[in-house]
Amino acid sequence: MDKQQEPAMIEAKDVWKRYHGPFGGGWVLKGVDFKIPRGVSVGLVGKNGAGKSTLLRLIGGMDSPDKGEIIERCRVSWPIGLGGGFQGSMTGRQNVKFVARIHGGNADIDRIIDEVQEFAEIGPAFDQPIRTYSSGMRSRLAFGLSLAFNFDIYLSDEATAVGDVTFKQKAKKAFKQRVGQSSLIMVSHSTKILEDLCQSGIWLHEGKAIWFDDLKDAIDAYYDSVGHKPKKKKAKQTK
Amino acid sequence: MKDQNPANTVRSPYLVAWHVWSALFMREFVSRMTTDRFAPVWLFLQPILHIVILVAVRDFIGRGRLIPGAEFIPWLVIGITTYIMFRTLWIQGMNAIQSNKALFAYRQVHPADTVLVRCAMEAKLQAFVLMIMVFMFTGLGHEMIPDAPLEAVEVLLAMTLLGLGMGLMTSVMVTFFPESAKIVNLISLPLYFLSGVILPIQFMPHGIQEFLLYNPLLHAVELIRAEFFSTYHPVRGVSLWYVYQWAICTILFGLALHVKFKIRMVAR
Repeated sequence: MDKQQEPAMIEAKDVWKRYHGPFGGGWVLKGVDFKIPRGVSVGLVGKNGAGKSTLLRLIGGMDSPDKGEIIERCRVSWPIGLGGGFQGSMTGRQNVKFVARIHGGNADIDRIIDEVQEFAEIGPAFDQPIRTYSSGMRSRLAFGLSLAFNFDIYLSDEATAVGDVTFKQKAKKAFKQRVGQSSLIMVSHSTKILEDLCQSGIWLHEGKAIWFDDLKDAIDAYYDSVGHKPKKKKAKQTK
Repeated sequence: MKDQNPANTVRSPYLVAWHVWSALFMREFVSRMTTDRFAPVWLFLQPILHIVILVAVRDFIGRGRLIPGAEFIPWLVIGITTYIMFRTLWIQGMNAIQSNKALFAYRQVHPADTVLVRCAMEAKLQAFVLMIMVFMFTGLGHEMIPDAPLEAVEVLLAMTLLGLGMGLMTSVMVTFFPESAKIVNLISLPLYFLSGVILPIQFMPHGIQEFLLYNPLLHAVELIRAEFFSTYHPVRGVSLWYVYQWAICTILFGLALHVKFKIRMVAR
């Protein structure tokens, strides 16, 4: 209850967003409303094209809503994902240096580089151009880089999807360590990692956002809407 | 430990802009110098080859070598270098957004930053190229030392600002219509001739001169020559203020476009 008293970290007020493509474009978000309290990690679920990445980009400040507003009362990271954030022609090290510099970390650039290198564990590839990286290596670097800065909220857009087991373990551990200090807004189609890292859930459905205090309810509602029963779990249980 | 973290201290907006600019500057410099193994050499070789070929062609045609009040080769060299300075700034500024697209994921990086930083870096490089040209042709025995160096810097500054303004404007344009880059490249060729870089405008009829004087590049090219060679008579009616007017207008208009379309450029 006391969570409700204190102002929410992120507040979306009637957010509308549409894209104007060459073939027209409909509304992606039609009046999204939610409040994310301090210290709560949120999993975003919904089918492909429901607007999960769009919402994340809006929260990350890479785009602005057509109507409504998003109020942020904390430091929010850039969306950590497969695509953006790295210049392909530059090496991993150069990209890390760039990001450290724009965050004003000129003084402790060496510490940041060490931290990223240690987390990413990509070895000599750190000095190779990013375009030569596999998607797994990219997301290792992206995750390591964002963790080198202390944000209150980290935005992750399927950043863990392509990682191997050790990387997933590592990412999980890193966030478990930060419970209480920082939280996570995560888009993922892997329910397992969502359940491991998030407590609450937002289900994006037909342009609306539905808030669930418990992530499991959000996932269940999502699965119900697409007529899908979580087969994997049942299969495991019968084994 | 936590307080050492740069993300924990709140920076003023000016400091954030400064950090972005310095980071972009280093990034731009590295990528400009390492695009291929030839890049740093090409930076100097391109204008030199350009001039050598043009001098050879003019020698071969063998007419109009008499420029009143100035030696022909230094006259040509300073005109070409100034024009190339403008053109490089324009084209590089125009392509700045495209080549830094991935970096707009960080909310403190604005498209206008990339254009500004790239033009600033290019202006420095081109100033360096100009100095090398001056020393090289002086060494070869031409009269290349400017008679009025400070006034020459003033003209070069106007040219730089004009290049920045055009870069700011066209960078927005090519983001939304990539095809327009081709048109810009197409325009830059006739501009080259209309700016009196290789053809002396003095020899043209007065009626045409009047018309050509709408082009601010002609003003700048003629003025820089007048500052370099005190005996040289530039085309009647050139004024530095006219170049600055163009520069100020293009910069303001370009910045306005950047403010208006910022979100749409980043969202792409």
